Amino acid sequence: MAELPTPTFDYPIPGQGMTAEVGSRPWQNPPQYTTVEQALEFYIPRLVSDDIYDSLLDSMELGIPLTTMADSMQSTAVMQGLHTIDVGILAMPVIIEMLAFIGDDAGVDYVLGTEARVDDDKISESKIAIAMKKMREKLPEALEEKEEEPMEEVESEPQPSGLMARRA
Amino acid sequence: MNVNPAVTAYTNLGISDEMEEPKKTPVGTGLLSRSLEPKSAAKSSEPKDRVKDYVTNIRKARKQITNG
Repeated sequence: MAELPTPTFDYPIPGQGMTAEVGSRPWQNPPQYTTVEQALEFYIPRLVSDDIYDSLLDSMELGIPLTTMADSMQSTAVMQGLHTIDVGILAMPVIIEMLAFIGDDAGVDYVLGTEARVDDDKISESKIAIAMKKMREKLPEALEEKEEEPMEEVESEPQPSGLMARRA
Repeated sequence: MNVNPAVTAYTNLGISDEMEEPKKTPVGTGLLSRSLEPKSAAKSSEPKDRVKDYVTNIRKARKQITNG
């Protein structure tokens, strides 16, 4: 009779690959900016810098709410260990207001994100804008395809109409 | 359901949109009249209040842009 293999328990615990030693992650270390003012000194110059200014305006044009943008910014900074979550929460209203200032200054229509949602069936501006952008990207390709495959014109042969004409 | 903490943080600051007009204090005319100016309340240095001040200042500047 064949012997069953002895079970071994020398395997990694499920999820072990997703863990790390305490202190090895940026957010597990002391933050770089400990006060709201320090955090804002980090954010404000970045918001008005040339690198991301255009991207910010693009996002506003797409209809992404300013609250969502501010939340993602502060979450990223927390993950990078720049500041703690509570400092990020405190800094968010200032970031939102600054984004609104940038939008007003550039004359861009933006969505603040604090408006109460009235109609759930209504398609949001952001979804429409994204769909339009995709359409614009796809449209030239579709036009090119059409140009590549021209419609073959069916040449219609003149049908004999006379009584004595030969039939095909 | 609102899951974005930014909305809560922004809306709960308690800033009124209307600009507050400075209160006029009655002026005493007599030489020996008591000064009726209210003692300046010690400004709170709580982070929430500081954030409120920053937001108010930026909003004022923003309204100046939108109002021309």
